[in-house]
This record gives sequence, structure tokens and C-alpha cells, in this order.
Amino acid sequence: MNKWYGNRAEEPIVIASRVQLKRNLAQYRFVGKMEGEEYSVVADLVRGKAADLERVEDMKYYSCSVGKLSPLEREALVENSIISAVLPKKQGAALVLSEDEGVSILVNEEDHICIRVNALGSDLKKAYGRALRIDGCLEELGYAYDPRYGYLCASPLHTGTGFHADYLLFLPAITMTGKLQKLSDEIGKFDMEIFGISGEGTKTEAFLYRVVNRKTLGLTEEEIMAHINQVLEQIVAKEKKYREYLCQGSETEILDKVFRSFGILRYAKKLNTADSLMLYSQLKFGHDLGLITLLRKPDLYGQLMKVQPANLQKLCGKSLSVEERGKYRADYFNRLMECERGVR
Amino acid sequence: MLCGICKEKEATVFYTEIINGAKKEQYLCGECAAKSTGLRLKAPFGNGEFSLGTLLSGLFEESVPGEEKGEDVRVAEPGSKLSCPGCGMTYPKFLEGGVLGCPSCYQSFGRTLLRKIRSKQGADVHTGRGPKHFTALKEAAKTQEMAPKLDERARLSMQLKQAVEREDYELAARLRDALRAARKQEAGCLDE
Repeated sequence: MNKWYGNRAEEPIVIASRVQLKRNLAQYRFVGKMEGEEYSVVADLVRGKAADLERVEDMKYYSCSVGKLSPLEREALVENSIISAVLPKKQGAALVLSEDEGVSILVNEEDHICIRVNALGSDLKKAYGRALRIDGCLEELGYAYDPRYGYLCASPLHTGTGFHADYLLFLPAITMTGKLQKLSDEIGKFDMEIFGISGEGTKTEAFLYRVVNRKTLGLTEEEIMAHINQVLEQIVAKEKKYREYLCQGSETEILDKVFRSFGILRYAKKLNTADSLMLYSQLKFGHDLGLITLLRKPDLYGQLMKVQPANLQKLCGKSLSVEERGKYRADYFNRLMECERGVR
Repeated sequence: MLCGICKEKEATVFYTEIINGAKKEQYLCGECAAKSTGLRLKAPFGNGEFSLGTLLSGLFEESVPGEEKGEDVRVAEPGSKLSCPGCGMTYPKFLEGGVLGCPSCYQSFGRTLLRKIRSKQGADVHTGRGPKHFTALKEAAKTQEMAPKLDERARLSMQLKQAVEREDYELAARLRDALRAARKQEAGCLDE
């Protein structure tokens, strides 16, 4: 089965949409206070719902205890944003995953349940609709809910809807023109946050960022989505404006960057993750601006899922040293660029 | 003027309380004011020596359950002695880690937590969706609440018809107004 991000061509700016629902079971203490068998009881209850989810979604669902996975498998799941980096460190952590990897249910992270649903492009509505189906199925386990506070979460910062909506955005022009900090300050006024996909502030390697809502109480899920959509519209308009500005003001420089990237990806013999993603993102940027013709439409997210260390080793089917990974990664991109002619 | 509670001592405090929009005003003596409001002020109420500033700062401090009444105690950190009987989580520990211990903590830490949530989230009431069984219960309660109102409307409508037939226009006018009011109320219910 195709992965959720492999169904259609990637959009130039809005790569993906994601919603997260945080839920807890009323009969149990929150994760931080759980003891002994409580972890496995909660994990088994949620994992036991996989069969119901298969019926509701008409799709295969897998479930596992995160502790029983190999370190490489765990790392690959973190790289793919299927689980958070903290989940493998949590006692009694479990995962329920849909076959297309569009739905992941993280068990015993900060809350008993965190439902993550992805959709390609700008499609929060689709992701939310799917999240509601999953939520409707899991709520039979008895959620902790209060008429005043809504869904009770371990952190009061998530209480209420327990709902976070985010967009994965490709913002090369805003980054190159040095406007990112300003953008971050601006959207902060609307209770939104922007951070690089590496998770360290606004630092990122492939111009990829996530924009997410901060507040979860006092607004309905629909209102939160409407707010983030309004902010998204502004960001997309800004990114388009700066792309035009870059094209007019420094076309030769941009062209040079794009074709250098093509050359390196086509012929380099050793590439690390950060460099390869930066080069490929510049190539996508060039393609989106119409500066280079690529026969195979760029899919930055898809490549991101393949060339990071753990995923690359899974792709290769064996454990590789850093040196070997560099060679294998370069070879992978050489082959990817083989059919491209490198012309405008 | 005598105190509104004990009816014995002279009232020295005019106390206004607004809860959920309902305003309650009382003239109280110092002792009754201290007991009924739960405010612990540095200056004892008894001798009437307190300033508006003291009263207002008292409003943002916690009254700690279990302490001896009348004791002149100010709590440095709001909720520093609160703990949840459900899981043993204490409020200071929550402040340290940012996470609560169990669903009951939301009740156990009461207004102290409510203020914290309000300051962080800018709101303190959930307006989003809820679990199916809860939504169904809410709908049922709403329907039950509306049923007598609908019956009342039918009754008024019938009485109005009879009054017109009897040419009792004075009663008919009163019934017409009552019917309008009932319709308006019902429309309000449906809008909610």
C-alpha cells in the first residue's frame, strides 16, 4: 500500500497537514504518576482497539510495544515523525500504526493517547475527519472529560480540545531573505508557533517548518482550524512575494545554487543527511520557480523519509557505518538524478 | 446598621460578591466577614483596621483548607499546600514539572489551577466537542428542559383562542404577551 505522502505530487509550499488529539483514560492516573502494571494495562487497552480501527478505516493496523523494537526501527519511526523523540524513552510506550502510516497512535507518552493524523498538502479538514473516526472508536475506552475543562490532559496547556493542528511548510524564500524571525514574532501574536522540523527553534535543514496552534481551550476545533488557516494564507502570500522578489533581484545567484545542487546530487560520491536534504530542497525550489525542469517531480518529504540515517539503513537492508552511509546516500541521489537532463 | 449574618454587632464591611454574574451584597461585621468570605487579612477585621489595598491583595491569595480559623496567615505561594487525594500530587510539584497526576487533580487544585489555566490559555471554559455519550446526555437534558416550555406554549395558545372566542380581550392581551415571551425564550434556548 502507498504511504500517505506518496499519493500525489507535492505542493510548492504546503507540504502536509497534521492534527493531534491528546486523550486520557478516566480510570487511570496520568502517565507521570502511573506505576507497575498500569502502563501495560493502558497500552493493552489501546492496542486492543486496532481490530476496531481496521473495521472503521477499512485498512490494516499494526500495534507494538516500542520497547520491543530494535534501536534502528525506533530511530526510523522518529525520523519519519511517526513517533516523537521522547516516546522511546517512556516506560510502557506503545504504538498503533495504520498501514499507510497516515495515522499513528502514541500510547503512554505524556498522555495515555495521542492520535496523530497526516494528510498531504493543505488538507486539515481531511486529517481532522480521519482523526474524529479514530477518536470515536477509542472513546469507548472511557476518556477523562470534564464539562468545564473538556478533555483532561496531563498538562493543562493541552486541556480543552486536546487538539493541535499543524502545517508542514516549505519556506525557502522567507528563510533566504532573513524574514523568518519576523514571521515567528508575527504569528506569535495569533497564538501560533513556528519551528524547524529538527525541533530546535527555527533552525532547519531543508527549509521545512511546522506552524502549530498554542491554545487548546476556549475555542472549538473548527475555530482553531479557521485561525491557523488564516495564518497559513498570510504565510503562503508572503512566501510567494519573496519568491518573486528573489527571482527578480537575484536570479543568477538562485540559478547558480539550483544547478550546483543538481550537479552535486548527480555526481557527488559522499553526502551527509543535512547536505543532501539542503541540496534537494534547493532543487525543489528551482523546480517550483520554473528555473529547472525535472522529469521526476520533486518530493522533498518522501526523500526526507528515505535518506536519514536509520531509514537509509532500512532501505539498504543492513547496518552501515557513517562512511558507508555517506557513500550509499550519494549513490542513491546519483541514481535519482540520472534521468534528469539538468536544463531549464 | 447591624451585621447581616449575626444580627448582633455593628456592620463595618460592605461586601459585594459576584459569582457567575449573580451579584450578592451584604453589610457585615468584621468577624462574620472574615468567616464568610474566607479572606485572611493581615489586619484583623475585628478592630476595623484595614485598607482597600489589603483587601484587594487578599483576594489573590489562597485560603488554605485545614488551617485554624482566624489565624493570621498569608500564603506565600498560591496553592503551596494543596495536594490531590486521588494520586498524591502536590501543587508545587505540578508547578515544577508542568504535568498533573490524575484527572482528579483538576478538582483538587480548584481555583488555584483555574487561575493558572486562565492565565496560560486565555480561557477557562471548554467550547469544543465532547465524547458521544456526553453530547447525548447534554442533548437529552436540553430536550427535557424544553419539553415543559413547549407544553406551556400549547396551553397558552389554547387559552388565548378560548379568551378570544369569549371576547375577553383583556385576558387575551395578557395571554398574547405571555405567549410571545414563551416563544422568545424558546428561540433563545435553540440559539444556545
